[in-house]
Amino acid sequence: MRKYIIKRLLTLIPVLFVVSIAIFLLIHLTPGNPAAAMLGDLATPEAIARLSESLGFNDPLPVQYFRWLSGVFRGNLGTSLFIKGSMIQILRNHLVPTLQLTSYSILIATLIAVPLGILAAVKRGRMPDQVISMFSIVGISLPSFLLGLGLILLLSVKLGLLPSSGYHPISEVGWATHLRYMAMPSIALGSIEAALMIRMTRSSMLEILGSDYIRMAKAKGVPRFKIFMKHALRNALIGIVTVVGLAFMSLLAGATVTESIFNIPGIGKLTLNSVMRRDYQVIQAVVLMVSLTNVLITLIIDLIYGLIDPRVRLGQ
Amino acid sequence: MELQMEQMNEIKRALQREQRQLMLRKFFRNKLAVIGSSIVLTLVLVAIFADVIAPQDPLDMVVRDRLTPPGSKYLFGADTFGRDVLSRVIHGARVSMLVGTCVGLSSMVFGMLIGLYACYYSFLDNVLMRICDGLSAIPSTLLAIALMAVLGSTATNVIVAMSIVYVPRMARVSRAAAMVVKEQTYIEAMRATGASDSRIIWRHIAPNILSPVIVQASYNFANSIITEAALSFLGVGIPVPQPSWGNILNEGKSVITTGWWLIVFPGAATALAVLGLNILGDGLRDMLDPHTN
Amino acid sequence: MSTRILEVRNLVTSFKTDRGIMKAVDGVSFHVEKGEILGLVGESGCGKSVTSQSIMRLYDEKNLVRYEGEVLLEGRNLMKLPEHEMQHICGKEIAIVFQDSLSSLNPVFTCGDQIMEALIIHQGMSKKEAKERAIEMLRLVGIPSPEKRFNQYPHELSGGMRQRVMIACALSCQPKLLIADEPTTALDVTIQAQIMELIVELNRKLQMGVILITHDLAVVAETCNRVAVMYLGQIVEEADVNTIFDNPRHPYTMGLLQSIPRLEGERARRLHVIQGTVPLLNQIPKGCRFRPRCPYAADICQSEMPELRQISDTQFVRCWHVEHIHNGR
Repeated sequence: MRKYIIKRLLTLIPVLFVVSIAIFLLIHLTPGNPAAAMLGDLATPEAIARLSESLGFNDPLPVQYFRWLSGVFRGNLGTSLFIKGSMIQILRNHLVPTLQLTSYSILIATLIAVPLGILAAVKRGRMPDQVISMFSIVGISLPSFLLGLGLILLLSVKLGLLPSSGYHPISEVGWATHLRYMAMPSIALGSIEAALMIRMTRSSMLEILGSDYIRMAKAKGVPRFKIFMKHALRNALIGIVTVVGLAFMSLLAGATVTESIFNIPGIGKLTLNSVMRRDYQVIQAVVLMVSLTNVLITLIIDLIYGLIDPRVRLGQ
Repeated sequence: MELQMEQMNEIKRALQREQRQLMLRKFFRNKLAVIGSSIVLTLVLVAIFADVIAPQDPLDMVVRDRLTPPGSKYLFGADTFGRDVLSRVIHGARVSMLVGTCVGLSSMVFGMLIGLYACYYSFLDNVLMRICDGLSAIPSTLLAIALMAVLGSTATNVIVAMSIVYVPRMARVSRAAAMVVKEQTYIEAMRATGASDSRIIWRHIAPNILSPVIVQASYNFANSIITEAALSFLGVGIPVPQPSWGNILNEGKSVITTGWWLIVFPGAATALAVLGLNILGDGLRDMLDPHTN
Repeated sequence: MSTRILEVRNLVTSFKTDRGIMKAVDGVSFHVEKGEILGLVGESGCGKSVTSQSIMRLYDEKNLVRYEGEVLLEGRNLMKLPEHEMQHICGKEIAIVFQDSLSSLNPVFTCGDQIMEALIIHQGMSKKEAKERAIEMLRLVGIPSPEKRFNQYPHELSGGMRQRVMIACALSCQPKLLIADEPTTALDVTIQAQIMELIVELNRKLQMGVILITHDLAVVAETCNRVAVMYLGQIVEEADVNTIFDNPRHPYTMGLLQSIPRLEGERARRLHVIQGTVPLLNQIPKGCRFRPRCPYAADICQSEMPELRQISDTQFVRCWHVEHIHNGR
């Protein structure tokens, strides 16, 4: 297991290298001087020159890259032109709502998708499977912001059941109100993700149910329920862990749009505001953080694989 | 020898013909593929003939008609500036289809290029695939938004940004497929007869990886429509006066209590387009996958 | 007839598919005596595996398959048993060894776990007892250092070792009948011989009946007591092993025998090949099923299907021309 972990960690190095270069170059993709772009059309040449100088845009690119990278290693992710406080502080403040939204959505998605996916696989080709599969393809084709808008139209504009937007931290208003505000965005995000998860769960379950070792278990006289709970589920877990991990990654980024609809001050909202304000260093920091989280999740998924599947653990 | 080659080619062509017919038959038997492709085809036609079909100029503002509900004058209602929503949705199809096609094609071309060369030359493999790994580690929506922020909001930049997002996936798909083909005996044989690398890559490997690539391209097409709508909805996609489904939705969001038609119609159009493409992709996958024979 | 362990009467297995119902096994009858090895031979696609798995009712009866006929295990009709009683038969009274040991053993459990499973279910053993017994089984099937193998995962073993683990799994509860479905096809020739030797040895030691499914006639000649030859879901000839090899009467059996390469004899004689291939199940010919590939085909073969007729004490043949055909001339 230790060898496997070390090997897995080593493969991260090139990925992180590429990510860092891509994110660093992001600023420099702007046509012309990035400082000019940041300050907008009305900036004076002096102001541009001053900002250029203070952000070090006049040095050669490699020098800038290494300065930026060593800053990142020391926890210095740059400064925002508009928000006070250290970048780490800014990120942390905005990360909380996003993580809450993502977790609730994952919970909803998993609770819907895993049982339905398994049901569809078990009843393959029959009515439940067809209904579930139809729902899932419709869900996949529905952008989450559309579902969000639809929910607002239905649940708050027409029926007045839930507040249409806003965010209230648990510490200020308690769980009940907090969840009332988070319900719609979480459902919007979670059910779309569920559609995708159903498909993946179904196909991985189908593969397992058709496998020789399930037939072998039946031939050994293992009761049907136990075949399912012991032989199939343990193998299915491998697929389900992947699905949930992937869902987490796509939600973290997909939350941007949902946050904007429901006015949740999360990472996505921060990105968007920074895009509007051309606050490039914040964008850089956000993309870096989310990408690092992604890489970390992938790593965790792989480590869980190792725990479940001996073939991975023993390096095959 | 020459004659034999000629005969071989003749047989090969005949086989290919037969296979194509078989595939066509399979395609039409596959209800999903037929439904999906008719939806997509309809939307493409709407996009091409938008000028002819649209009842009014999508940019024409009639201020006193602002927020007119759907009725005989405006079938889909009028927006906050008094523009005809039906015409805007029709013209929005043009943007979506254009973006989708361009992103689908460019991701296909560059993805295949990277995948094929990565599969064939191992030193390129390491470099190219690590770059793709890195780019895929950055979440696609976020990458697209960030790219739009630095490139500036224009239709061309939407296409460029989304191509950057979707090429790595395609590269991975085509590399995986190419790896399988490369191991086959006839490729070994070609190499033994001294065929040049690029000939092997383009004449012999490339045609054999088209199935998964085409399927992935149709999914990319669908996803890029969603992403474009999301970018425009957030205000960082297609610049405003130009009608696009995301733009109309963005406008609708601010008047959600009074102008539901600004959300329902472009929303339905987006969902329909993506659904059509996804169904088509599933149909193509079932058709091209040898396991489902 | 108290020594008959298994008797199959008119077994029909039909699959529900997109293209309608396909009978993969169509009216098969045979029996297995105590301590006997019955060979079930034929080309692939003849319904040998389906027959064996139908005996254990392994196919999904809700969606996929319909069984007819009787399968009597010591007089008890398995086809009439409810599912939970069938679970007490599978693994305990009848056990099976599949061809592909890598995919048939569950990758996420150790070999020991998988041997213990049947013991715990059927014998009600505690984990500790089951472990002891499992290690004993591993030793019995000739696995060196069984204590170590007990804790290893299937993919850590070689193909031959895995096949032995499968046999240990199957034999753990001392079944009355062992079905070996091409147990050696995926293995090297030397390992093949070892595995076959093991099966024969255990068959003698434990006095269990064995159904050996194979297309390898050399293996049949060495191990089996009786042989049933299957073609397209039917038995076309059944006899004791000597009769099959010395005096085959069905053209298909003759074809199979002539297609074995021999070391002795004239080298100039070309290897015989049966014309054509096994038709698909949805293209079963009318009349005698072997007719399209049969060198002796006549009009009657086209119009009517021959019955399986007894022609001597031990020999049964399904052919219109039994009287005219002798040893391929």
